[in-house]
Amino acid sequence: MIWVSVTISFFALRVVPYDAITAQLMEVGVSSEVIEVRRSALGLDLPLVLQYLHYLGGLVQGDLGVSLLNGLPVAELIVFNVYPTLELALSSLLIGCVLGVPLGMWGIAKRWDGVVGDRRLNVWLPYALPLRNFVIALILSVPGYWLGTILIWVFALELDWLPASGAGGLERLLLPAIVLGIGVAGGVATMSVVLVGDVLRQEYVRVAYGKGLSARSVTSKHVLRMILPGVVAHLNTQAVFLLGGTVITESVFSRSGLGRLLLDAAVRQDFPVVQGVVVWSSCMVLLANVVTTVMQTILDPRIRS
Amino acid sequence: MRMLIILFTALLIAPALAPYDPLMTQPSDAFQPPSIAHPLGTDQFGRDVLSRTLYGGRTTMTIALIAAGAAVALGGAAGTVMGVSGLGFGIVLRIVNTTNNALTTIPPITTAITISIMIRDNTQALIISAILSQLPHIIKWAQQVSEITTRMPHIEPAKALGARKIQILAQHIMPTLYPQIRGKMILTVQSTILLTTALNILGIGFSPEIPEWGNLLREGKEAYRQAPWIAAAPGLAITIINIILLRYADQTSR
Repeated sequence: MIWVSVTISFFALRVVPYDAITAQLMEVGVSSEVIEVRRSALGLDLPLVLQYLHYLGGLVQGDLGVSLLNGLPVAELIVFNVYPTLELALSSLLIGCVLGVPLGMWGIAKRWDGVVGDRRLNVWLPYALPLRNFVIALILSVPGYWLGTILIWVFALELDWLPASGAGGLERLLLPAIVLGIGVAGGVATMSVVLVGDVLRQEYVRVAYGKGLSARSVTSKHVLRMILPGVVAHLNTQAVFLLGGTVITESVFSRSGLGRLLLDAAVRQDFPVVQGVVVWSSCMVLLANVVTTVMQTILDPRIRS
Repeated sequence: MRMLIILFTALLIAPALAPYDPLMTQPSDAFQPPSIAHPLGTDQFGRDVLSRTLYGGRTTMTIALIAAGAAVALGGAAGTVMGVSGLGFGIVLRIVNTTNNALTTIPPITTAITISIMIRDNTQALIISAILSQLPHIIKWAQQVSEITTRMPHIEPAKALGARKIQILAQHIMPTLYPQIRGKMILTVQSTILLTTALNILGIGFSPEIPEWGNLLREGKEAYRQAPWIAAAPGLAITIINIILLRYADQTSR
């Protein structure tokens, strides 16, 4: 899997005739011989197949090559930038889960009390589901960067509660994590709505009501328990996008991170770094798959046997 | 649907609706708050934000429709072939499938950034990168959906009646897939809007003076201290279009 994506990105990135060194040195105005010397020092004049084998050989030893611009090892650049991205990704997944699951389940308790015949709650019944659907549609539709700008404007500029930019520390993490977390919550909520719909049709939910359990305890004990494995599976697909680099949020909040690393490298044609980030995100996807399987096994005893 | 038609018409006849030329600068009118002369205010060069939002919608929506249409057509066709054949055509399809699954591990925005920088041509780069970055995910989706369709109860009798493969595909599988593909198409338009405006916000895409929603948002982000209204118009426009598209996708795929 990783090998396939490494191979494709390796050759795709080298289709372009120019690279960072040529661009950088041409700007300074040095002769083409100097450029050639510099290129051959980094092994860029070798045939593409040889370069590819060199790269693969380095990769199995954890060597991702060096940046064409500043000569730093790519692995080091990634390690340096990984922490801000990781903390952002994990905290936004957490926020997405905490917001999204209740949002997806919002309204079902009322619907079932309505069926059972609780008149007090029936007043809200016609509004709960459309309102929930609208909130979900709204948070799925708001572009993250715009939400980020609004939050910076309100919380950093007008109220002056939180810093607007940078990375490090909880107070700098909060706003970007909320922006990304709301995005995740939209997907989680949509997923929960579908899953809850399936679970509510199950016989054991009717049995639980038949036993005289209140809607609240059916929801929290029987329904929630059932949808969690599905929610975790959905979070897995979201994690793919988050760990690969949260480019836009990082640039709105001027945070350092893998997304910024990728963007800067891509703009300057520094393809070893771009390649490194692609390899990293492929590895993270595999890791996320493993974590998902483990969590599902913990949450759903039926998988264990 | 009605809302969608109204919105598209408004964007289509933007030249007639827009009160000003979206590129006309008027330095004396810089950073005007919303007023009767400029209903949504002006930006740092005194350009009318309402006019720029209307024209920007044309650019953004044209690109989104072309890219989403192409991506869903290509990805839907490839994915359906792979799903329906059950990867039975041997090694070629299996290689395509493995390659595609590997490509879905790369986030679309990563692919989109890299491709649009490699091509270095504004409109083409945006369209091609939006297509290619979403293609693996659409192929995977179409493959899964069509594979489920081949297991539906009405396929077996059709086979038993001696229908040819192409007949089953055209008369029994495609009609079942059609509403889902239509829904996917609308959702892809939505994600393409977010993707292409994101590229413009990052500064890879159109040059800043061209009215486009991403460019307007970036301009608004840079000037949010003096003029918060610049980002308000395109941000709201994207949100509203997305809500309408989501609702329409929900209705149509049922």
